[in-house]
Amino acid sequence: MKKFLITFDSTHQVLKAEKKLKEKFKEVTTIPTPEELSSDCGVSLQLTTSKNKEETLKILTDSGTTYNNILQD
Amino acid sequence: MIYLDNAATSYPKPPVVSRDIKTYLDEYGVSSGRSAYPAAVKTSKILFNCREALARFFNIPHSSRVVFTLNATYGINTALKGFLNKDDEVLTSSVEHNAVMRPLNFLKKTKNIKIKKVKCDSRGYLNLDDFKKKLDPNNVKLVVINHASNVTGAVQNIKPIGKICRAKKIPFMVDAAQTAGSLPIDVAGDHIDIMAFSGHKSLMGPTGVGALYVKKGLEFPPLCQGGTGSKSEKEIQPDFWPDKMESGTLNICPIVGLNAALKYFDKKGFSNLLHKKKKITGYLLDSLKNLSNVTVHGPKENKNRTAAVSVTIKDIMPSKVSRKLSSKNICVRVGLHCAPGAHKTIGTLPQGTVRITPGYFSKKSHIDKLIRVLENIT
Repeated sequence: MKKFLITFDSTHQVLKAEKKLKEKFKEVTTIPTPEELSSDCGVSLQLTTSKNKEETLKILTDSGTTYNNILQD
Repeated sequence: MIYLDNAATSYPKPPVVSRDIKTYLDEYGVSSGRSAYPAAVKTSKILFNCREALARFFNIPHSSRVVFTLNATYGINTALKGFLNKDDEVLTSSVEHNAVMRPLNFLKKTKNIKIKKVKCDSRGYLNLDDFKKKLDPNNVKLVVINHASNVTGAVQNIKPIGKICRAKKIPFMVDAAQTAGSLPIDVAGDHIDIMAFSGHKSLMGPTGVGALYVKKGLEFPPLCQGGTGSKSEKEIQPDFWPDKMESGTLNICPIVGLNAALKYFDKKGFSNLLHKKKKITGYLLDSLKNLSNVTVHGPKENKNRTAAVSVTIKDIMPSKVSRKLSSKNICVRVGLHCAPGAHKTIGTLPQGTVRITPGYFSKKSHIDKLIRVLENIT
């Protein structure tokens, strides 16, 4: 399993992405954005999945949300 | 108390409205959009859910383009002052509320904008031929139309207006203060580019919340700038929605209440509620027809209208009617209803009217008591 951290500009986009991703993934949680990524809003999404980064990115893009960054733990 | 002033604000609210506000205040009442601790995320989610629910309710394609305001007036001001520039021309109607006319006249003074008005008939309905004649695509920058008059209750047929505006690539703005929650609005289908509405009238939320929708691709500055909880290292306003348009801590209590009211609409079924209100409006109109001393201004039939019914009583000033009704604790609004243009159109200047507006919780017995007072007034 892989862990991804996805960051966003706006809390609205975090919650929109969470809603969409929860339709496809079981383990999606909101977490505080790490300090080193402080240019983003205070909340990020953490996603645990067996899919690789490209597949995860595609699902995110298809959901119509605007994210900033996707980082693998 | 018999409350028949629902065009001002709806009362009572569904019980879930105050219940959810109390739960918010007592159990997790923190700020939204700034932090990731559980109570903050919970609060942010209520706002998100409310935005999504409004987008669904009005067939709005992107919920991020729905921004919370204090009321419809604030939304209208944001759009007009943000979108209109020096020497622009705006096309509006002769029955607008002061929420539109006052900012437009302010902009006439400060930015030299030109205001053109489409004629309306004596019932308050817009003349579509006059609209087509005045809609010069070379000059008109924005069309602003009051969806329904708060004086006459007349509902404008906005679909053809939106279609014409879209064909001519002129943004179409709707003041839906009186119609949001009182009739179905299809933002995408009716080609609406900007819509301002209040959350406390027919949507049955508490006072202190309204919203503004702006179509994706249409950009203008917000009415005020400030902290948004995003891009906090920068001292300039972010350019993404909804953050761009919502600075400072939001009015969360009324938004929580509006969210609860929208859940109530879902539970009861919007069409069921509409049917109920239409029936009581019909009963009011029929009862008024039996009174020889009463004149109904605006649409007399129970179609293409909201529940707002304006009347005058022969030889009796509205203020006297108000005193009589108040003494019986029957609540209506009298006088000029912040829309002098509408009163001029229907010929009720300067004395105004007695406006009776049943709501979703009005009963036949309420109307009967009102009628008894009106028929015996001398």
